[in-house]
Amino acid sequence: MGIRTALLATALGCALAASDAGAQELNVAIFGGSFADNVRTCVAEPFQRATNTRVNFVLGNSVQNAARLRATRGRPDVDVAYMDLQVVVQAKAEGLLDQIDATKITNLPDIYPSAVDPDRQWIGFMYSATAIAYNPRELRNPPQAWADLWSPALRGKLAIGDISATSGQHFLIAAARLNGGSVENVEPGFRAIRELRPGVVTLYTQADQVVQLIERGDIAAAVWFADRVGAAARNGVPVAVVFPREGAIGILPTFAVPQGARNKALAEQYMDRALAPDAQRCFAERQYAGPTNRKVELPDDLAKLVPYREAVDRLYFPPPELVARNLPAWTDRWNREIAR
Amino acid sequence: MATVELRRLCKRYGAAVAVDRIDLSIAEGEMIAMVGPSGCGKTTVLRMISGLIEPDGGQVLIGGNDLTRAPVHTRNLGLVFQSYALFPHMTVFENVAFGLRRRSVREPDLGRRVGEALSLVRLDAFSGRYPRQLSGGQQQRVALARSVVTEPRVLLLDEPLSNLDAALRDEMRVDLRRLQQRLGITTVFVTHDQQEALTLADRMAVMRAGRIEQLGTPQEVYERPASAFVAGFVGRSNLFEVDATADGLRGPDGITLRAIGTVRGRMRAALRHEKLRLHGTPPPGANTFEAEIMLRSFAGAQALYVVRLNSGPEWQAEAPSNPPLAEGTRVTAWFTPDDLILLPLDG
Amino acid sequence: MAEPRRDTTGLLLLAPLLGVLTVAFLVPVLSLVPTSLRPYVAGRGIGEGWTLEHYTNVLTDSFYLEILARTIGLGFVVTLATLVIGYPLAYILARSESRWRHWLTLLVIFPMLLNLVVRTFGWIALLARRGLVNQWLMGLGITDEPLRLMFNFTGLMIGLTHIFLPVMVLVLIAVIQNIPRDLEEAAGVLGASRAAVFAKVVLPLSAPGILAGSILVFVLTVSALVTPRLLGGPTYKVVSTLVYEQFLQLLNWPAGSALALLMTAIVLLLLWVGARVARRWEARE
Repeated sequence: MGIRTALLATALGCALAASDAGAQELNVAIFGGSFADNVRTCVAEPFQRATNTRVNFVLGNSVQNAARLRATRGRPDVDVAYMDLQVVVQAKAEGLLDQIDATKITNLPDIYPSAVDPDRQWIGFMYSATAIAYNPRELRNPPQAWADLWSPALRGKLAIGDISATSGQHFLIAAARLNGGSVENVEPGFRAIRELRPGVVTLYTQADQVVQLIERGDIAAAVWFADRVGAAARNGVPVAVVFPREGAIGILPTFAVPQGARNKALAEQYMDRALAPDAQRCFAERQYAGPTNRKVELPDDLAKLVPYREAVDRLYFPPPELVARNLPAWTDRWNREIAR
Repeated sequence: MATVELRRLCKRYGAAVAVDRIDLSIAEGEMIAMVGPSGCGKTTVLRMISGLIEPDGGQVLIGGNDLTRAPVHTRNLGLVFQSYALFPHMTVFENVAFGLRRRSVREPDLGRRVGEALSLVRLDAFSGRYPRQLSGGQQQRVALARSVVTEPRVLLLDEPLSNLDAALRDEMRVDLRRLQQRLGITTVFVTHDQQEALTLADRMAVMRAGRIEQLGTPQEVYERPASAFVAGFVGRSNLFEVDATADGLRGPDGITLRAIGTVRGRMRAALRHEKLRLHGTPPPGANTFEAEIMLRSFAGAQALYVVRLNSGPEWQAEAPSNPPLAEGTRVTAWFTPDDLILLPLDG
Repeated sequence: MAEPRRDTTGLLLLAPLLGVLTVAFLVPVLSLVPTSLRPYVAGRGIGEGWTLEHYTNVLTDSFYLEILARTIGLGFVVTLATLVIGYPLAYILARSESRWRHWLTLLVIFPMLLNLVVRTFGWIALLARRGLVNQWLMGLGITDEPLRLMFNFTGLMIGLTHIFLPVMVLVLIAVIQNIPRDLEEAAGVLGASRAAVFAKVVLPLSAPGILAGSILVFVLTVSALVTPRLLGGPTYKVVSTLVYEQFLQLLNWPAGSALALLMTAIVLLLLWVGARVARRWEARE
């Protein structure tokens, strides 16, 4: 019954945010933590200055943001919602999203086509990847491929994400592909992870747990997000990233305008700002996000850390509709076979 | 049934001395009242006898055995609490049976003895009730039955009548005395009500500040109080100071008094209210005064008066209410020399 | 003697509270009912029409049944543990005449003032593989390998017992303080040993508190979410974490609603049975 209070609290929170009267306001459902801070610096603040608009952030993860749109169907209390790819396609399927007016997004021609919904209901604003993080102080010869994670050298030194975390879903897909399977046939993936499981220290549910695990020396390697590695390394955590040889699994966080949004035009202006080269570069520097705008130039040291140009081509993006449709079954099976 | 003997019994609470080296011998079957104002230590003495409080010094002997350190539940005493302390979750029957069950008394003895105890307090018909369904007087009688059913060696009563209304109190007082005499049980009871002590007890101990000020039969204590405190506490008295001078005894405002006994220097004197008479002719040698009725209050057969003597001190008198004396009436007030109780100045 | 009269005054006095309960509890729970009967297609959302599949899925699947049983078992064990630890504590605090009493009471309540997440993280620091408890155990040579104290029944039980102990103690203190000390003394004078005083007087008279505290702790335990998520992790699930997962990770509101309603029904049934047993026990006394 904790969910009820959580839903209630978020509803209350947005009611408070909405009651704040101003000339122009834009309400944005966005991911929390340093992500929100960096979006504020790189996107929201310049946007506020340029348009004299007050930008209110409502914090939540992808699914919570989708749940918010579902609960307020047709009368959303936000104008922009941030969601990961496999969640945004579900929101689209449920008819919760409005079409974005391409003429209003001046930067749209510069965005990689793979980052834009053919029906223009969502746009990806950054690339990241599920890759391999390792502690360079503990591993002289870091794993170079997904297959290396099954090496006996990593027994009792590895953490992977639970199926509830995007990295867990991606690792399942990677393991399936590695062993002749695919998104439609994850059976080999389950078999491989079941075999790996006894040597896995923990199935983490929150990405931040990995920082602690590495700092305490509980693990030497983890399946983790490339952008998280960059941020943690900047904070002095002994961690580095490897994009595995078989291909890291691509992550495409997107934003969308909900059906019935009160300030659609303003929302499109906000998106355009977020996709502009300067904002994309700022976000790459702070969030270690690969830009989806191909006009962005990154310095070499940064280019090595983020999915950029050719590196983007080597990422594997699982078809999001398939992931969304299969996730309940995967979760069910994972809970029974892996997480117990 | 047993004797109770207290030897130099002491109890301190921090710096305060609650009970200060008390000696007391109680005979078998005797009923003793401990009286005194609140805080005088009388309840503490009772609780030390019961074992609920451990003394700091001295001894408690019951039936000649030293039980000073014996645990409460081994002493085989009866104790009636001021609050009655009936078990609210048990019926009257179970309340009374509680002590018997602890002594492993089984049916049919159990039922028979509970029945006897309840009929002793005339509550036979109530055995299935719960305490909350009983009146105060009935609860009191259940408490009594519960504490005598085990045939304790000594019965202790803590302010047994104080929670009852006046009419019920008189009735219970008679019941209590009759029951005690029927059972012949050694009884110690504590009360702040001197009237209760006077009417019930074989002997009474008047306590003050942790010590026994006077121990004696009610009559002795009433008629020969050992101190002004006792005189003031037991019965109602006019208290004043007297001086022995060359030409006799001088009271307040220089009134002249006659008393029996040797008087040296300054002393305290007590005159019971009912001994200051306002009717009749004073016998020869009586102390007589011209007096004026200042105030009259009716109290049934008796009336209470405030009178001013010889335009001097104002005293109180208790006299038959018939014939009435109106306020402002001038009367002759008198008392015999042996009515005047002379007491040492200290205390 | 006047028999206790049943009148409507009591009901009227209760009316505002019943109103609040209806709005705060009944309405939200009942609003889940229609949702729980809707079909759900992953990737497509909540469908039209009506179905019982979410209920039958749970009730016919040994995986879900095991988690249901585990959650209720956890509820019983935590309730029992808080009772066994809490009763002596509450008795001492209720009966103590020490001037430290208020400080001791505060010490018991203190954990309640801390954020739940903070308290849970405290337990993680203690119970983790390299946590303090394992360090001590290994330092003292009691074990060679670190014990698994987290992500299992033990960890959840320890964490939840600690978190709900103050609730039990506070309820029991209130009840024990209401038992006049005279009653214990009277029982002692009547020949009852300390054990008999406890068994025959204190325990039966504190039964309402034991029942109230147990119901409270049981309900709190089976509905706890934060602590099971943190101390149980993804590998040791209870019903509330499953419901959370359905609602907030899989967007499957119908399945989540069905699970939540089933759990609510089971808890209400258990409470009803508990109350009946208690009433019978009371009547017998």
